[in-house]
Amino acid sequence: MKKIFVMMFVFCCFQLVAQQGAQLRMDLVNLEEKADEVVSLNLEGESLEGGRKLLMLRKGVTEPVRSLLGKIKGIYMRRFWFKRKKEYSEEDVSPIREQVAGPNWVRLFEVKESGKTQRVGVYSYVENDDVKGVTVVSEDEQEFTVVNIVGPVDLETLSDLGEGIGISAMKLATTEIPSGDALPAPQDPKAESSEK
Amino acid sequence: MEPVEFELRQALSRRTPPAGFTERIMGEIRAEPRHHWKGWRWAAVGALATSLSLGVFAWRERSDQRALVADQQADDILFALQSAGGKLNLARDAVLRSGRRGSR
Repeated sequence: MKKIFVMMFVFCCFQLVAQQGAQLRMDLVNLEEKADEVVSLNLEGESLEGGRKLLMLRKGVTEPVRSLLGKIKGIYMRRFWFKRKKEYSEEDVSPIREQVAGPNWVRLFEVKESGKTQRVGVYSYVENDDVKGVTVVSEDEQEFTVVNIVGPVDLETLSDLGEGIGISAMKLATTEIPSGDALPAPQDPKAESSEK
Repeated sequence: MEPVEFELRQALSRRTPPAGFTERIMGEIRAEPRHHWKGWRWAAVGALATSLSLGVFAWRERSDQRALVADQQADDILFALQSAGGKLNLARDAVLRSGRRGSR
């Protein structure tokens, strides 16, 4: 009996460590001081659950998006906007860069096109061949954004969400609960994209 | 006859009530407020109704507040996911562009 408890405790500790591993520390004090506008979102626990439940009830949410929403354990976002260009330095964003360069983090893309100021990096946290989290970092002359998603994230679905696919029938400010008990059948993302 | 017995006989002997005794008693009975508890009953009903209405109002306020918060949280989730997806697409498109340039 004692052994089972010890094993359960160790398992829980591993789970906790795994979750913390994919979760970044968003201590960007320098950026906060310099930025003119800051968007800060920490969605976990009850705040994530409340929003997730409501999203599941909304019309037009496709099955892949439902599946993605169901697996996410936390979403942490920081967006800093600066009135003047090049107001922040590489040193200011190094806390994030250092974390995504750490163990278990895999760089999927890191793009900086010539002639453009924007630099985007996509990193995934992999443990035992399983994706446990994704972080997207975007730098521009006047903006720095980092979105850290904890949980198994399907990049295809995330990409669709970025294009407004999978939720396009939804209005952000309202909740439309479908009539009747049955939820609407998932829509074909291709059909939605062709409508646009 | 014992003195005690004498006193008892005197105490229990029939006496004629004084004049106007019956009228006085009946007058007192009429003057006494009857069904005094009725007022309290209505006050209790009123208090119960008020507290019930207040409870329903508070409950509705709370559910409205919760719905608003949940709506905001849902929007926040979407905002974060769409931002991440948008940036991911930017990176993917740039990779695709560079791939096309390389193949030319």
